[in-house]
Amino acid sequence: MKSVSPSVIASVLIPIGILGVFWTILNQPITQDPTTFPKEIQEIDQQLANTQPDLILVGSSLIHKDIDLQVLATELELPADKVQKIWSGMATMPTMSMMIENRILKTGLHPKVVAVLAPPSWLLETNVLQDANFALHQTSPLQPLLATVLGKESKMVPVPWKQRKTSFQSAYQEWNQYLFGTQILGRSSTEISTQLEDLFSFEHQRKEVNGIQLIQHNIRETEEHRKQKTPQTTFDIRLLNDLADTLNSKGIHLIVVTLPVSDSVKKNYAISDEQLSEIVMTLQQHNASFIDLSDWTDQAVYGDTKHMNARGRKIFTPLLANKFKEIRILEDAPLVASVPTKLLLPTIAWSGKPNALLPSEHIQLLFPTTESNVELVTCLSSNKPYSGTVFTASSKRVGTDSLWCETISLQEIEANTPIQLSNTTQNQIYVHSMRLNEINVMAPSKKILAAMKEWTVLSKEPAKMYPIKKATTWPKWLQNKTSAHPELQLGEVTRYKGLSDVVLIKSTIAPDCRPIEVLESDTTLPIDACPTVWKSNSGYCSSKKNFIAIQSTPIRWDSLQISLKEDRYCTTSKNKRDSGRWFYPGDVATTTFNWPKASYSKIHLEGVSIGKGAWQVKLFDGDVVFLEETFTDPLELEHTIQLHSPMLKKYNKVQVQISIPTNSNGYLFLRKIEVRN
Amino acid sequence: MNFVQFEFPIFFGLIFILFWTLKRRAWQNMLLVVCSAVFYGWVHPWFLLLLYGSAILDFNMGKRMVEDADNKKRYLWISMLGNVGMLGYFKYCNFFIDNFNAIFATLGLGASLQNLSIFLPVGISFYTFQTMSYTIDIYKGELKPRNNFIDYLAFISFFPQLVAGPVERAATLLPQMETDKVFNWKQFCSGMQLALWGAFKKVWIADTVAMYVDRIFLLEAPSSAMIWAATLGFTVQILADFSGYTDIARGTARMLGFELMLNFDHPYLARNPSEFWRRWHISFSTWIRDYLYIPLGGSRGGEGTRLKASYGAMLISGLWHGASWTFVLWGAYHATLLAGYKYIGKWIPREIRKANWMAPFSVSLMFVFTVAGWMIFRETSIGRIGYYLSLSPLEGTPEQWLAASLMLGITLLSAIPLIIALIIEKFLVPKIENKPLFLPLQTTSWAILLCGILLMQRDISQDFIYFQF
Repeated sequence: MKSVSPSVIASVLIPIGILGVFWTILNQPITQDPTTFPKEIQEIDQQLANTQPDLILVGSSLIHKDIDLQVLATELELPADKVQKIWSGMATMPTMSMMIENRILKTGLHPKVVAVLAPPSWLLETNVLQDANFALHQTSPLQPLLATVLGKESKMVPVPWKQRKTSFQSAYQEWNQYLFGTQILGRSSTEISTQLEDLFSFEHQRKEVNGIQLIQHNIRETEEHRKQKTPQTTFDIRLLNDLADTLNSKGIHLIVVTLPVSDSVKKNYAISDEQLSEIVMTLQQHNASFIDLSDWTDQAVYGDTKHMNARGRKIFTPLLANKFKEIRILEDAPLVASVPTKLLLPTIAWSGKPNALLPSEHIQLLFPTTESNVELVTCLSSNKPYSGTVFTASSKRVGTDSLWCETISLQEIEANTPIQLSNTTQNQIYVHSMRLNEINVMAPSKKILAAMKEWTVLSKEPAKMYPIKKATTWPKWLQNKTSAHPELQLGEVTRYKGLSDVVLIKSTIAPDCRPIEVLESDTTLPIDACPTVWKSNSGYCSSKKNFIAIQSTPIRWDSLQISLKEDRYCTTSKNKRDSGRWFYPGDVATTTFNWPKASYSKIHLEGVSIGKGAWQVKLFDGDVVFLEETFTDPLELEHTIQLHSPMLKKYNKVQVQISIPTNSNGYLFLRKIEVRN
Repeated sequence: MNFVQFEFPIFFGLIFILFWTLKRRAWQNMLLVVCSAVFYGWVHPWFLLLLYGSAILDFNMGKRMVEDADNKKRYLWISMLGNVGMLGYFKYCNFFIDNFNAIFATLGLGASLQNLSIFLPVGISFYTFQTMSYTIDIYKGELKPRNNFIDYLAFISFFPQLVAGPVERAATLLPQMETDKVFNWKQFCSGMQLALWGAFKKVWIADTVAMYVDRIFLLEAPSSAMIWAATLGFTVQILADFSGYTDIARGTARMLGFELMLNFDHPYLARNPSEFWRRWHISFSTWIRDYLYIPLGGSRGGEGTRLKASYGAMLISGLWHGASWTFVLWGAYHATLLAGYKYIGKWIPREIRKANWMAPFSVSLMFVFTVAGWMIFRETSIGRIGYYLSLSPLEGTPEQWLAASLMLGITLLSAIPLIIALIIEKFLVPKIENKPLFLPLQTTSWAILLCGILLMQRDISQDFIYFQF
């Protein structure tokens, strides 16, 4: 018999050995040692261990990104530790159900309320997507019902080697960033992640391409895969039913909130009206509550296709808190789930021309369901001054003689039975909008925007220079920085303290859009944002009353001055939506709108006020004034104002004038101005 | 079925065992036909109708050409019209409709045709070219028509190269289908090495770089540095992706005893445009040369004919890649490079052009031109290409510079295995190929590659780039 050569033996044994070792390492059982968990889960564990929360939010990474717990607690008038969240990447209904069971019920927590927050289709997904240790820790052991189902779908059960593979792939990506970003460019990993997240955020992506080539890596197939899959409604409704029943029996109130996602995702992840009704009915059976926010469609709030950015979080959190308050979730008898408004919306038909009602003409409404009481709000204008109500069912009227909104109360509505609302006046009435619980019943007319770059300046105060003095006393937090930054020098600004980095960042204004500049003799100093200055250990920035400088040569304080920037318009290359125009005290400026596409009843402003003081808005075309109003409350992100008289379609040279009185101490930063209905 | 899905090694393992167990060639070819049908029809079985339709058409036309030699031109036309018509309908119909609508809109005419809901059958560009080569070769008298339909179908639908090539000629692959096979260990080892290396290139290099490249090309307003860094990334990605596919195809075919043609020969080491096309997608470029460039006049006529043939061949070659003007532009760009090289080449003495000291310079210059070409290839809109070129190279926010630097770094890191492989192939393998150490080293490298593939294989893998063509 021919002997086998050592080379052949080695060629068999060595690879077997390598593969054996590799497989053994890869497939070792995942440890349940809490110290090995990702830091996010350790944080959750720590927070839950030291508190007995009143409200626990449960969901996917969406709740982690979309909701600011501190703000939510403040809005709900609860101590910060009384509101907690448990989240797991990509968590769908089975995962959320297990998280509640394992992380709340079995750990002895007894909150007043458990809120499940997810986009609608997440509530009907059967996936248990394992985000390595993260979900496993929170979802193990399996719930009996789920285990039965997973028994049939064994591939969904967490497998160590698959988890390690996923972890390795993420780690490899992070290592790449560490190697080139941290080692070579000297940026921290947090900084890199934040900057890249910002740079690649959803709103910066091209919208005009649908081809394979530009669809993000793996997204296309994932989306297709999910689209093909029919949600197993029965199973998930059973899970929801079990969950609501269990919580109800333990005296914990359940509330389900459907979260909004960007339009592109919503399109692929929509659920049917029947499925939504089924969720609501299940919740009703167990006295649970329901809030539908899935139609909240401000597209500027998303950092990627699903998660919100900082601005989104800032707007969305108070909105959620208000909804919680409306249904009284922390009280003894919260409102039980009711059918979402969008399922109640009537269809509308006009006896004459759409949107217009001649005397005795009418609107016909057809509701899909039987309802005992419905309130519609409609905004109307008349060709002649009119001070009564147009419809007999109207109970309330707010506005002027020429433009006003009426509340129409309808009782005992029969499903699919026409209801007529007739024009009881002798005037021609224009119907601008009709809403049911803030949702449009009529197709909304196209909005038009004001040109934000080109303003005609009617008046402005000349820019003044104010000195920056060398600081005589150093705040403690700055004293502590001197060891890390020995070349730190500190100045004190004598004016514009409220326009520093700190205040602007809190108001979600990009550092590039600071309205102040610092001049040394005649040269403008680059006052980078403070985090950049601390990081790079050089440069200048402003932090409330402090002017911070890190440089080796001593600063000549007598040559340093602070002033407002002459150029009021600011555009950021990073994010077009951050661009906007500043208005300083003494400023009066006007700009025009693009061509009107309808008759309008409202003006909508987006921006922020800094400091206190009045500001004025005037909307006019020649001598015709549609709105002229002075506001003393600060503008906080957005504000919609009803016009005094309708801005009819025929007015095509409409201008908006923004002014700030000279004696005001307020600064206004406007990103967008639009007229709408 | 995708080569880098977990199903494929199982699928191939079964075929491998059955293939070598069957021993009789007729059964082996039958097995290949059935398995190729499973492989191709895995997701969309109805695509098989097109594949078989094209195969039946050319099989019959080939026979007719010999039986009715007086009308052989007519049969060739039927074959051409059938294949080009099928390709035109499935691949270019909506492209023509869009352009028709755009022209009419420009002329102020209201005509507007609705786009058709057509799903592009994967690999259609490859197998139609392959079947056409069969009839053209018979027409030219370089090949005899076959009587055994199964052998012929095994050649047309041979699964390793069905979806993205190499575009095999009937004259080279068909005779292999008609020859009895004997299992050869050395051939098996070499095939395994090639297939594993191909899969490694795809999952470790191409897919990793793709994640960053895709994100940059998806941006509304990237900086110039980002776009060029992403284009460099795409340069590495497309080589790793496409040559990875070809290596798996050649490797698996070799394990079954078939030798597919070399498709890539270190294309980024080309010194000039002509050499690039002798090194990049060789099976396709030689197809274009033999069946398009030469019939159009090739180098036989004067300067004008050569230019016309060159531009004609390259424009069609560009359009073959996809129904988009950017691919046409890419073809035109390469035709211009070829023409420019011919023209400038005349003024540079041959001894300088071929001198060794010129190599680093000419390879680098050609590489720069190649990278620029890939930007045209990767982008989907001509307007955007203009926009990228109009960007100031030095402008960018700190975030954009960070992203560009990361992209560049990841590209360089990903290119390292390609460089190591080149060094091993050129310098190490020839020295140890016949030594006892070679086999253990080879199997060790399989284990390492397999570990790498297992680690980086994603549950939902990105398609090979050339699948869309």
